[in-house]
Amino acid sequence: MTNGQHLSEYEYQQGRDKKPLSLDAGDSCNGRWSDGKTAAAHSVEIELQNTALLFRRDDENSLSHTNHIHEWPYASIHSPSPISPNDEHVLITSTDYPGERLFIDTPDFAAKILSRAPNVSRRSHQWALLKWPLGMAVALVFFWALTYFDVISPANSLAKLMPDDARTTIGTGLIKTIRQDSKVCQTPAGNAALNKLLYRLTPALPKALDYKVQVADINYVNAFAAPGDQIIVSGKLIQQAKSADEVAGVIAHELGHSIERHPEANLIRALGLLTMVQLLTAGEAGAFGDIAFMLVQSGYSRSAEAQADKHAAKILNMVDIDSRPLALFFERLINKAKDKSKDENPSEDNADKTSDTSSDNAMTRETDADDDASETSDYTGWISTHPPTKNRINYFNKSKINTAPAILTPTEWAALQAICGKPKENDKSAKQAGDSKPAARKGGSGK
Amino acid sequence: MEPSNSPHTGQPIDISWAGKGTDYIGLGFKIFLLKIITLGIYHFWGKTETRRKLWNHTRINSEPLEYTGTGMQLFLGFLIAMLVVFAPIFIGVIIIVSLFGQQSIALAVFMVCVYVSFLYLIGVAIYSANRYRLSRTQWRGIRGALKGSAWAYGWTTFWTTIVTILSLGLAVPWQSIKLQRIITNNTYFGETGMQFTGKASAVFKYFIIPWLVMVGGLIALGFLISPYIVQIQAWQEAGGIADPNKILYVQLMLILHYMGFLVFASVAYAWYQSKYYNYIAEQTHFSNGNFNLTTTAGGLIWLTLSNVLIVILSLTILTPVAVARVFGYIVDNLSFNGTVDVAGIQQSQQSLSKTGEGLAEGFDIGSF
Repeated sequence: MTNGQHLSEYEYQQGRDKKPLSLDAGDSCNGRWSDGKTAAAHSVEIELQNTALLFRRDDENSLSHTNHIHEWPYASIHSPSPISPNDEHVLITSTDYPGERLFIDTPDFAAKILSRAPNVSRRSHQWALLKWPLGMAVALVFFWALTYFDVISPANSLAKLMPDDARTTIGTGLIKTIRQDSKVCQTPAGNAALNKLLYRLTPALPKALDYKVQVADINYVNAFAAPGDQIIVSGKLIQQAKSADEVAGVIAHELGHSIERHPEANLIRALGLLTMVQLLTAGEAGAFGDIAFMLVQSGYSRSAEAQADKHAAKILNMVDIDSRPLALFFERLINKAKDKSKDENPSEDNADKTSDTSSDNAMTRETDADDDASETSDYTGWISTHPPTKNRINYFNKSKINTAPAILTPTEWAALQAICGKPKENDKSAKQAGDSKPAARKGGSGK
Repeated sequence: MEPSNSPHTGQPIDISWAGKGTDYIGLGFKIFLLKIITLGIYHFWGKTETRRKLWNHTRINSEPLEYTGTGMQLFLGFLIAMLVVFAPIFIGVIIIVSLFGQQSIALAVFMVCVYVSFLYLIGVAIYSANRYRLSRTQWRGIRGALKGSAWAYGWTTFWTTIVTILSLGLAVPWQSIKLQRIITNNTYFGETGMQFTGKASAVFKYFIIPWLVMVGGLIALGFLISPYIVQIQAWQEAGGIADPNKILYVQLMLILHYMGFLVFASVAYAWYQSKYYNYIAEQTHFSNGNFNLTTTAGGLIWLTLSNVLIVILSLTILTPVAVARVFGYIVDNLSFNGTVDVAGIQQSQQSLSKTGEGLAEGFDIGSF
């Protein structure tokens, strides 16, 4: 056909073809071209050159041929869907001529255009589809890492902006959920003892802190801070504590979380992540959303625990309470965890088992739980994910207070221990708590 | 544009489907994998990828349709819909619950308002989604378009739904035809519009059959199961003492009767659906011809049942296969009677929205 000569002539005139043509005469074929203005198709003759695809209309008998040679550089060529080497039809577009379309149904054209145009391959299409979602996912993980390692903490900043009413309302609701059916423990003597203990702590607390401490009849050893400066201590914890100093230490630690607004921050973190995941996945997150929620539930960061410890030590020191009993309390926990991790056959007397829950969602729990489920737990896992308890023990052991006045009289301490009204069981477990083969359990959040 | 040299003569139009359901298996697994890698965000891009393939498998005179939408448009559309529609509702609920509590009348009133507005917004969402998809559909570089107002369509959907409920469903054909007329008469390929000539009365004669089957079936069901219900009541009065085998037998019979009713009702409804779709296509005119669709009740039932199995057994991973089978079934059975003056079809002058079908995504309106 004379057409090919025209194209070569054109190329020659333009001085483009510096390199020798690597293509043989077979690299021309017929196709259909639409101009993007009407749906009409015009048959064209196409030639694949070194850097561009050239074509001219067959049906045009114009005087000046060169005006009708279209040139699509390979770099500008795209395809609406990825091209495979064996495709019988190929539809291509050019970003240089938006709206125009070339349709070629010569069977071997697909392979030829694939070897020349970089943007039509399966890989190129996949990357174009994947780059944004992948970039966003990486950005999200990066953002999460920044917050995880406390480089930035948007949740903490937001928590400090929360109005007190909202914090209290949310905290009360959460406490209801956590407490479920268990009642709030109250006896006149027990309340008096608890108030005396709290009264002792008050001078060391920020004046604006309007805190509230409740003992709940929860059947495992636990204590947590809820939003709105509300602290729940389980009756079991008080029963298993060896002295009022230990209870005071636990409450001081939880108050530390409250002062730093950790419960509020955790809640915001959980809600934020959940919302974001739901948004990004069009609500079909399902499992992804739950995983995200679990990540948040895995607890306070080490630095948050350290902050709470620092507050606890400061508070106890200011009001002349020895912090070493708290260290002992933690030591008991870590020893129990170690014992348990060595113990291949966890068939010890279930009644003796105490286990540690250190799972915090919007709450923090610092404690051990008397729980039959502890057999299945991963104790070494608990050690590795828990803030370094050894450091804590050393930290609290620095206390220099030796001649502190007792917080409660023995009668008052007995009344506090009996606040949930189970003195007999209390005696038994308190006695056994010291010398039992103990257990620790990771994660008490089996909701 | 320059006037074409060739005279504007009509051209026959051949519509064909070049795909197979099995072509989409790999795609399903790939999208699932990429969703995991991207924390689920790939959802919108996966949807786009599936559509590109579906459109590419649809051939008109052997040239493929082209889907030019992007995942980012779907993603942004969804984010905007979430911020504008769903976030205010979420915040409203939180405020009302914290002010008045969960059991308050205020919350009930608010939720009723939300659901009523949803009835309106769903129409808006359907129309906008159709508009987005048509504007991103091209053949030979010419775009489709849906003109008209999504809000007006939403309002029509709203009040005709209320009328249909009040008519005990008898107004379904009237509502469907009314809504279809709005959509078809506003559908354009380039600047050439479609015309809809369908009438509710023509559809009603089909619709009355599943309606009667449904009503008659319910009455028959009532008669057939009443002995078992009486039996159960007798057992309850006797203090729940009965032969376990007899209880099992009664339960089995109840289930069988309900299943029987469902089968009858579904078959009758599928029959109506195929008649309806075929009628809609026949009454849709374009250029010098009209469409022709040949779906059958059996085809629709088989397609639906097999697709439910595919989606459930693959834990939704093979959803693209199910989608492609529906798409392919329709395209395969679709043809065009008459000719189209192809050269006379001018490029659409409708402007393109920057975001896509967010509201529809929010309401989980499926359709490809």
